[in-house]
Amino acid sequence: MRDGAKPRRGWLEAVCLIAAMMLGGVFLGRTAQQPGILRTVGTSGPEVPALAPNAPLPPSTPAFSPPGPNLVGRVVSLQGDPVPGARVLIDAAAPRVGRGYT
Amino acid sequence: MADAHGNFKIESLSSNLLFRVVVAARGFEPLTLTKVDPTQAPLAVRLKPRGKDQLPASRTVFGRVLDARKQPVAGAEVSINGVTVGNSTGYGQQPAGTDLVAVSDSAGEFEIYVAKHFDSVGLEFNAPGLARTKFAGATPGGARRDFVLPAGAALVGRLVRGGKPVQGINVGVASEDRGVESFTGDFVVGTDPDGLFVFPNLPADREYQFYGVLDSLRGTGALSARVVRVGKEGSRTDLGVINLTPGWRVAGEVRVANARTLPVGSRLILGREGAWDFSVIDLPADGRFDLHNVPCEALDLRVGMAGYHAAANQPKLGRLASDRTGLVLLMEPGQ
Repeated sequence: MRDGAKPRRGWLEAVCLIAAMMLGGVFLGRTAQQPGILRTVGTSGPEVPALAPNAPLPPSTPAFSPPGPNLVGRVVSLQGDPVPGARVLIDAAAPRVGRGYT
Repeated sequence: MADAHGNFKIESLSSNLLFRVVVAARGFEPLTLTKVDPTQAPLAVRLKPRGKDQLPASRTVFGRVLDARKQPVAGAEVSINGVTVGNSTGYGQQPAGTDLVAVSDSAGEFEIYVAKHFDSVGLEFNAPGLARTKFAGATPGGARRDFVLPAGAALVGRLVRGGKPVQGINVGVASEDRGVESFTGDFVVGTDPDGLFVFPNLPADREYQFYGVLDSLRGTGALSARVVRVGKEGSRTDLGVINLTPGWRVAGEVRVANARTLPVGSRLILGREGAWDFSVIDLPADGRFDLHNVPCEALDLRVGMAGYHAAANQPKLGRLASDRTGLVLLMEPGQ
């Protein structure tokens, strides 16, 4: 598990962001963009909003998954009666082969 | 969620993985199944009925989930985030028999059981349309306690490449604060045909790492992790139009000290420091890898290989600022 508090410097980043945009893109801190690596990220900033300020919030698009097998099944009680509304949660437990991710 | 006949389907899982499955329903004892293979026969789950009167009050938290208008929230998932005994709080795996998750009923009510004596627990709540929320100090027994979940704040933006919307990319956020009691976990959504992404119910008023999910960006571009601030409860933060651009190239090979080919199932793991994301690449027998559109941020490379460990003095990526090719990762026998 990744853990441990990280330093907060939101105000500094905001100042740096504005300064960087004015100076043509020199960021500092965690979100730093060195002049030589600007090709990997660009943002036009909030002056080009994704949505009109008063537009209603559109529905969210679920994350996409590459094609793969479906896990299907049925939940019943010990007496064999269906249990509608049962919540089924999954968690990647182990790779099928090999040592794993660590 | 199981339908009226108890049937369920979870689509598009990785064929390389086995899964842990937890099944929970109000009035039943939660059941955990391990090493579930989605390519095998349909899963038959039988739940043991359990009335709330069967739960020892000294080891059970009785609660009710409400929204900000104090209306009951049905179907909220409740899980344990730390168990406190005296001055010590334990996180992670709890004693066998502890409920991994509980689900609220139509009245918003739930019970969650811990299989040992405890003074209090932290609880995490997930409910559709509401912000994921953690509460500390939930004590066992006594009157049923109300847990009020806020709706949270929205975060939106639009991904483009060459001025055109990019559909089908996954973007994620995870709180910058990774403290075990305050970390929000990660949230991942997709982009629609207009390149728009919407996180409708994030825990409000905090900083997040925002990033493009590596596996969804292969062949498309790079979106490095950066810190964004999500506003107060009920607000909408607009990241604007974000341009995807090419990333860097990372290439090289993995070698083993005593063989010419790698064991079957060897993998390369590209990890990210800020983003709650990583990519797993199946390695061919010759161990060569060539990754494109790698974001410019702090990264690390690791190898997962049965029966081997990394040799000393492996090359490190650190904060990527250029192409990195010719990397050689040497593995030695032994765990």
